[in-house]
Amino acid sequence: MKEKERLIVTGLVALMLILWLGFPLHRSPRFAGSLWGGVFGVVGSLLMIVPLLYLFIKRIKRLKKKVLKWVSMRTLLSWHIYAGVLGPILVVIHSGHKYESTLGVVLTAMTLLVVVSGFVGRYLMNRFSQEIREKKKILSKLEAAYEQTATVLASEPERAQMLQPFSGFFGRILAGLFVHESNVEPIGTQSSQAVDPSTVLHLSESIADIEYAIKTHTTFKAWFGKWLKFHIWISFVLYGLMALHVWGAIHFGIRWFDPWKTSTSYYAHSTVQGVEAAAPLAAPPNEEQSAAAVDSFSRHFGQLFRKYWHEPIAIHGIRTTAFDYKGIANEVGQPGSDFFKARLALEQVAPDRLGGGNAEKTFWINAYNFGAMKLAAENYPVASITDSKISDGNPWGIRGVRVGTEQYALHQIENEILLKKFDDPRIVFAVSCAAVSCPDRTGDIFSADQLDRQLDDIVRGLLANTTKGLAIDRQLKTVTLSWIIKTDRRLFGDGGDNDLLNFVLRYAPSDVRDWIDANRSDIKIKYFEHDWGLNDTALADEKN
Amino acid sequence: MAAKTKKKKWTASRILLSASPLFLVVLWMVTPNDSAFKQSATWQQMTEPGKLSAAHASLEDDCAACHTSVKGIETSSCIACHANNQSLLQRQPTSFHAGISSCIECHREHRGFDQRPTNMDHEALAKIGLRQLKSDALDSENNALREEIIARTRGYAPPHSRITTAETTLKCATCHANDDRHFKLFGQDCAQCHATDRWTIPEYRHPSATSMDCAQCHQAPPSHYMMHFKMISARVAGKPHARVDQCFQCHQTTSWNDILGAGWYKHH
Repeated sequence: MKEKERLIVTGLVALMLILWLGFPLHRSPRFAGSLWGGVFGVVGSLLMIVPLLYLFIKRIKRLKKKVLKWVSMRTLLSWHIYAGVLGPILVVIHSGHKYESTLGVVLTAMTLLVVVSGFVGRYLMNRFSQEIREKKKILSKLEAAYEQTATVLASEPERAQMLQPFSGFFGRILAGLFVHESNVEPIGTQSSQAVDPSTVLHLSESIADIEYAIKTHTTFKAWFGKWLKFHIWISFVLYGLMALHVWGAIHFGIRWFDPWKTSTSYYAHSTVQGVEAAAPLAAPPNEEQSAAAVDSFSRHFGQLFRKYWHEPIAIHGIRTTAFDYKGIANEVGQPGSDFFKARLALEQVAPDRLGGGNAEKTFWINAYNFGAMKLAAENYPVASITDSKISDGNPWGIRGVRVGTEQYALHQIENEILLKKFDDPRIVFAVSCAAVSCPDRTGDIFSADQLDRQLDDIVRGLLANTTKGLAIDRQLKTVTLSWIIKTDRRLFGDGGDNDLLNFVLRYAPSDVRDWIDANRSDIKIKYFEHDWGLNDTALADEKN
Repeated sequence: MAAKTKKKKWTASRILLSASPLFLVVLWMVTPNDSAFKQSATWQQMTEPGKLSAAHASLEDDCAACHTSVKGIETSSCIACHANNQSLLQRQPTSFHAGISSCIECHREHRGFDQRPTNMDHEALAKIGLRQLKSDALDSENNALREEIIARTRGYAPPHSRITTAETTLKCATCHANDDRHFKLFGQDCAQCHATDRWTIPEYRHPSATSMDCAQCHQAPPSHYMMHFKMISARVAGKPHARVDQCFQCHQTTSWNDILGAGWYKHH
């Protein structure tokens, strides 16, 4: 039975070693990642886990007790052996058509090493022990024969005398050449018991040989004595590498397992106008997909915003929060960046399925701000979005930001969508042209559930900024207001100074409010010059 | 025998073993933050199945540029950079890219720095198309079209062994119409004779060299219908009375320029 097992396993190990050498004969870089390659790999790896059972059952006493009721240790060991050889064979078939990645090469080498170490331990080690046992048996027989001969020889001193000259080191080596059986005639009556001195020599030589052989084998045995530890250690390294490999395969995407493979031609098609696509158009995203895209846009734009936002600095003498546009510009061409992902997400939104209310309002305000930032970042370095590099004076008219399948202009988002759908003057403060004179921002983009508070804060923040929002001169009795309020005055009640002041009073700091209230009748309203300079940290005034 | 006291000997290997975590921590601390050892890309590259092509070499350190975790290569990752390629999309043979939903079938990567990541695979194209018809089909029209195509190809043996059933569902003329040397005389079903890997047809045998029906397929060049024919061509060949439609009088099947009696002759 055992002989048979050894024969089969030896054959299998040899097969595995040969399979590995198949690489020069058949190369297929894509086999390992194909469906069949995957089947070999997965089944092989699962089989390679089976040997662990034996390891644990053997070492955990309670488990061993339970398991032994059902299966014998011997059966478990043979499972260990067969699974431990068949698994690697499948795995080598999986990997053996290409050796390119470091992990792959190391993993295959470790697999072979673990199997070979197991094989050596199980079968060759066994051989050594057996050999030693047999040799020892022969040795004891020889020693008995020697004892007997020596006793006989001791009673015949003349014969013993013949060995005298060969007691030295070199003499002993040469003794076999000079002491011959026929040298001395048997003497006396005890001839029947007579012993030839050369027999003693032969015996002692044989003993020496065998002792030497046993010693060598014992050394080998001791040397291999650590094989089990070695086998276990390297197999754990192997399992570690295997885990990494499985992680890598799943993380980077398994080619044959792709339930996400859906058509994206909808986007590809609509990037170019005037080209008739061969294939029919895909349906536009449904409500759910669109909502997911809005979420994704908010997440990535939010991260982008926070990453490059900078607390208030002075640019052209105006205090303003700023952004690191250089950083944003770096993300423009970088797949996988937040800018990129935000841009892509926007293209997957269905503009007619935003659901109205604060959710839609928030989305369009954020989309506007992203669009403005995009104009600056894509053309960076620019001093302003009114830069001639971007447009000949009207950056709001450029259809620069794509939502769903359509390109939108900033003007269009602000006037045709936001202000038309939502009666809220605070919108004009929230949509920012990336300019120094625009309202200051916190590090967060707008979110639907906090929109009202955020909009109030942004107006309040602007009117608290005396360099661009609201400044009063108590002597001259003038109130200097943001240019934004002047431009969009039609939004504040009937657009007269009175309604305008009413709006300002709602958000102005309390001391200013009190003063305006007290002097309302003879106040003169002036406006700040609007500074279109980019609110870029790189443009900060020199610090003194 | 006295009970053995379990006192471990401090052998060199044991000391080394127990000190190894400390060693790793120290190693981690002393390496500078920007060293390759600390870059996730270095470790991720251990699993790299081959170098990227020259065009994508800049992405070598950025697996995530193309690989979405678990999902693998998403078409949107490709489109992120490759959208709006006007010249590609407006050129007839390549305009099919506008409607295609998948890139990796033909544009395989990790095959080495000097390998262009482009392999036109008509079989893959056909499969993408069928898949697209299925997944795009919110309206029943697409689905009906797909069903019809599949029904038509089911149990349908391809016209010759160098083309697959899936490939026969493609409409060659969508991309190749500008280049029909048969002037549409053979119809538009190129796959009846042609394969997708080359235009030439290995099985094709020219009719006998003594055949006289050349005009069935061949047409003389414009100069043969002008004075040039009588003044030069016929005279050079030594056949002053040859008619334009009697190609065989002067030409041989090795090449049009191999003139009977005059040898290799190229006037211009």
